[in-house]
Amino acid sequence: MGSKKKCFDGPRDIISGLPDALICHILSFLPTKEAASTTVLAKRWKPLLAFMPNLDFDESFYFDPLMTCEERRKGSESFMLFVGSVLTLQAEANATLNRFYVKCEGVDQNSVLEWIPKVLKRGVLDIDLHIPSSRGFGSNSTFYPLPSEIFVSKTLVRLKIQFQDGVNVNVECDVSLPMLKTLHLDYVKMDTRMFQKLLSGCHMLKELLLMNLIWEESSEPEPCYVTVSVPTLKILKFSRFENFVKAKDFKPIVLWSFDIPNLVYLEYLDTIADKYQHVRFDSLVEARLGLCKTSKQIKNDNNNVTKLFMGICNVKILYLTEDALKVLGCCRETMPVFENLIQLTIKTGLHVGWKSLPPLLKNCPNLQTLVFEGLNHIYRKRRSCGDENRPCMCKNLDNMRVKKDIDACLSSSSVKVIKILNFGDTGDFCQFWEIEEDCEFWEIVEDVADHIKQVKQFLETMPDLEQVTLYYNTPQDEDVMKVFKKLKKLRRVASAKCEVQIISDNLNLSFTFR
Amino acid sequence: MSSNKIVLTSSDGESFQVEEVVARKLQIVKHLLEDDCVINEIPLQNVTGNILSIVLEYCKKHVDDVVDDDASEEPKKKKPDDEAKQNLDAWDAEFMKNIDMETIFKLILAANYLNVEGLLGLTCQTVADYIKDKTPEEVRELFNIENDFTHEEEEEAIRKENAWAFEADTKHEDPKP
Repeated sequence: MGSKKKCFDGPRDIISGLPDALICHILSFLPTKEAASTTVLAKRWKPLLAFMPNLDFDESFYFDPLMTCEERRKGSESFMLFVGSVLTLQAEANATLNRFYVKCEGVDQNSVLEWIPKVLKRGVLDIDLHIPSSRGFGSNSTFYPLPSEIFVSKTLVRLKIQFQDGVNVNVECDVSLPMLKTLHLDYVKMDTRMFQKLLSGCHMLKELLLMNLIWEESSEPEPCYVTVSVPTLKILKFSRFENFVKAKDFKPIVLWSFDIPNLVYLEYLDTIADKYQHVRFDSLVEARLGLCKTSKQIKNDNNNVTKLFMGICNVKILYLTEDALKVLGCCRETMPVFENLIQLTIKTGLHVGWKSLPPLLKNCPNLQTLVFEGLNHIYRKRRSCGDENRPCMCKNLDNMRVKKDIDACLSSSSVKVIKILNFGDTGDFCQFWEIEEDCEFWEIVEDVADHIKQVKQFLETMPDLEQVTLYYNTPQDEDVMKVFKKLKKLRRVASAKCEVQIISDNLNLSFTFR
Repeated sequence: MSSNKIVLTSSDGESFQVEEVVARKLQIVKHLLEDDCVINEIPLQNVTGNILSIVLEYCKKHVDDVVDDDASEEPKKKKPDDEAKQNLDAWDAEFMKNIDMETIFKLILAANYLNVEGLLGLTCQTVADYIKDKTPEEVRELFNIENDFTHEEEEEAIRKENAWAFEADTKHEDPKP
């Protein structure tokens, strides 16, 4: 908008001569705050605020970190008053409302909830309420109950709610949302029965996102059956609220069924269900899995996890968190073949070993791209072996065994591109982790040399490699040069045409072996 | 769809021969054609020749647009080619840059009458961009709007009701993602 149009010569005011509907259409491309300020331009403009069908109130944009608490409070109050008065004005004019977006911090979440029935009454199509939490989720979250009017709206097409203190879904009546295509709730509490009710009332649902979900304890007897069977669903994201995943005492017992033949994208972060009764994803293209075992779960119950993996084995793109990798390690004998998989991303972790990696790679015959988030894995070192002066060999032996396995499958891998994010990011602290399998204490010690060794292993064994890229987040250029030089010196590479690239804060270096 | 040509005639008698597929971007034409009559010439009474020619220039460029009525926030697997979209956006920006304000308003009216959704959106967005980040005084100056409020009316009634709308927005300069 640098070059302003010269306003035309005559005293003609063309814009005010446009019909109301067209001026409102122009104003709908502005955030409501700006559009509302046009009410002061001239008398002809004042009534238009009542007829703007797309309301977009974004208070966060105007949040100045330098404001005092008092200023902040006054600002929020003024904001709430404004939204309220616009809604009243519009309701009185009986105007249509399509979109109602509100984004604000530090406001009374109850008052925001009170607006919902008002906009629903006017046949709103799209609701998006975002009250972000700047402090992270509090342990004293209220979980505000969503008004039941939402669940019987005949017009709602899209609903997105994310409250700082969470929302609670619990309605007595049947759910009927005949037009709803997108449902997105972030930080939500409900019981399994309510979840089923919700799904059964949405016959056109295309996208379902339930993030940071907490299963509410219900009076229903366990086990709880959760069946996701929505033929129109294309995108599903389901993630349990983090803290609960690490809890030892775990309720409720949930039996999952997935029957979603048209689903294209799945994100599923949860503890392993007590049972996966039915897993059907005929059209799945991309999946992101984060599975976690609770300490309560039987060590050797692998059929369950296998069933889930079998259900997603036709994906093209797969992302596994470190927990999912660990879980996969337990069912490595029954792992399915991922025939169509072309891209695999592994999020690594300091407490997870890579023993599932060789069988997984072996079962991906058409893999092209392999992405690692970090290169961390657990290093074994038996606590009581050896003494200070002669460190035990077991560390190396165990690593060797794993190394041989990996070597074997890497040399038959079709992977062409490897990307390593957070290269050199070692946990440079020692920690003791309790491992269920051997009840031994392991010490984790890692440095960049270990990471370089790993990259060398890839380069030495993988015959189809064309590109290896390391993303090394460091401003220390000499560290980057050290890695560059070490890798360049490698003689025995399996793929001479491979290009190695290192990208750091300041540098972007690359070389080929040829 | 055949490669039929259709003649569109403006209010001042100017005729334009275009491919049927281009003419169909004007919903008003599309509806006429759907009535199954064989039509070779369509008179468009509420638009002048010079405006109609600009509209048709837009339609020719956007003839391959996919109408996306499934807009969703989540990443779709079948995204339209990003580079192609960027090129089209650049063309749109250049297209609007060369049009003066008076003509933009005439285009808005024409796009509305002829029902060309993409052009209506583009022209309205352009005007909105002119209004954005300007004080009411600046907007009045830009569009030659006469302020017919008395000073009291302006201060009391309006700013009080919608006080928040007039809070200075110069505090937070960074554009929000």
